[in-house]
Amino acid sequence: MIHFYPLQKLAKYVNIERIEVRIMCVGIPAKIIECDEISAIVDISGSQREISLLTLDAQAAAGDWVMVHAGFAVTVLDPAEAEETLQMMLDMANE
Amino acid sequence: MNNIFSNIDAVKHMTAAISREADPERAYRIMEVCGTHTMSIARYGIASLLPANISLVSGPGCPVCVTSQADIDNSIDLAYGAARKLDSGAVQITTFGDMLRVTGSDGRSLYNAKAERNNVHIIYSPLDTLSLAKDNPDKHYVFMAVGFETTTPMAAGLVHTAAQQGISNISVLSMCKTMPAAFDLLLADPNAKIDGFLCPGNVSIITGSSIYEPIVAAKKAAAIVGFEPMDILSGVLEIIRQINKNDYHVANTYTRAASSDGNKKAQALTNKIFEPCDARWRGLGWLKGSGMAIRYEYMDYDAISLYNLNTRREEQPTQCRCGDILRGYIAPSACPLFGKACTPMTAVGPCMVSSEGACAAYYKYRI
Repeated sequence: MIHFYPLQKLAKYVNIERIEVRIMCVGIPAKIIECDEISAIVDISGSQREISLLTLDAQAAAGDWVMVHAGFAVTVLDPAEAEETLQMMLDMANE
Repeated sequence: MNNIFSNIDAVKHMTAAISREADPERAYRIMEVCGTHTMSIARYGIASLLPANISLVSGPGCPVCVTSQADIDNSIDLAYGAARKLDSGAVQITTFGDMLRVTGSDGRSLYNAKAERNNVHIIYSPLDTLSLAKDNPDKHYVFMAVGFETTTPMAAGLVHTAAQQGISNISVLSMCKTMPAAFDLLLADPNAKIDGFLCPGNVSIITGSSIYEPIVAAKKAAAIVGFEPMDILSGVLEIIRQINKNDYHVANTYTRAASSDGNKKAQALTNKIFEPCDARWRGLGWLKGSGMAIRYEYMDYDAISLYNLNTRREEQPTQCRCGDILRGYIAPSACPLFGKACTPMTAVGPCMVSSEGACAAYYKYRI
């Protein structure tokens, strides 16, 4: 049985299947376990790896979700923002 | 599937709005520029959810697909030690997996080199090259850098870190490209007949929305979208509205990841290591200022000067029509090789090789 335990919370916002396919243009959501100024250890669907924070434009701390692109965090993800976006899209279709 | 952006009720709601608002009297041709969009659209069968007068066309947004035959030949030569100034046994290649099966003019690929010489390493992050180089100081590692604005900062990160740590047995073969020149070409091309563009959200995370301004200035619709069904459909609705109202602006429905300014830190890192140069694209030819070359200050890390590679070498014409597909002229199924001589296992052109290529998407999902 495959466990996606740490990602279950974010599964509502991000397509889990995509994580298995590590192709270069696809961002992968990951949760920061620990970090310093330039690198972080993240949890990606249960496996841990080191990523670089060289290209992260915002402050991130343990517990934050980041979008990881080819081993570099590029943006901090906000689950609340994802909910709002969907509502915005549904409202848009109602106009 | 429990992902809110592919929720069936939300999708039905959105497709109903699209069918309601699309003018049945006219046709809408919308180009999805990014290969990841092509894959999403094929996988979720999005084209089948849209009215018949809305067509989605694949564009030149898969980095492997647009890499010119000359660049592919150069990288394969490098792997086989055919380039000048080489102690061939020492050269090791690191690359994203997508590049492996693209065949050179002589029919060989990096995959063959990997099998025959065991000097090609598939990596997930460019930084994985660092640990290989540290462990094997007697070998030289060349990273095959392909990608657009999204991936160039990661190649820059490799050069930056290698320089900082004083690691000298690493270089980068830059085949990186930028999107604006390709947009200009498509906008000026009377045969492409594109009414609107689904702009790649992943590129926008880095660049922000300003690079799409020329699209709306040319009176074409533009929407920055993510990669889930709801993202893509909301982009289609936005584009139809812009066209119907004749009111063009860069809309962004991917605000959960992409801001209007983009990622300044990634932009600064790219600009520190790279500078614009002319680049040859498969199917589009030479586009001025559309490539990214390593700056003079970092020439010790530039594989093109290190190994004296000729980026202007001649290309052999083939029957492959990847070029026409990348310009939106034809669908993959219209290529005479598609599904016959050219399949994912025996790919002739890069659009069939790359997991994000239009031909691979059409083949896999039988469109």
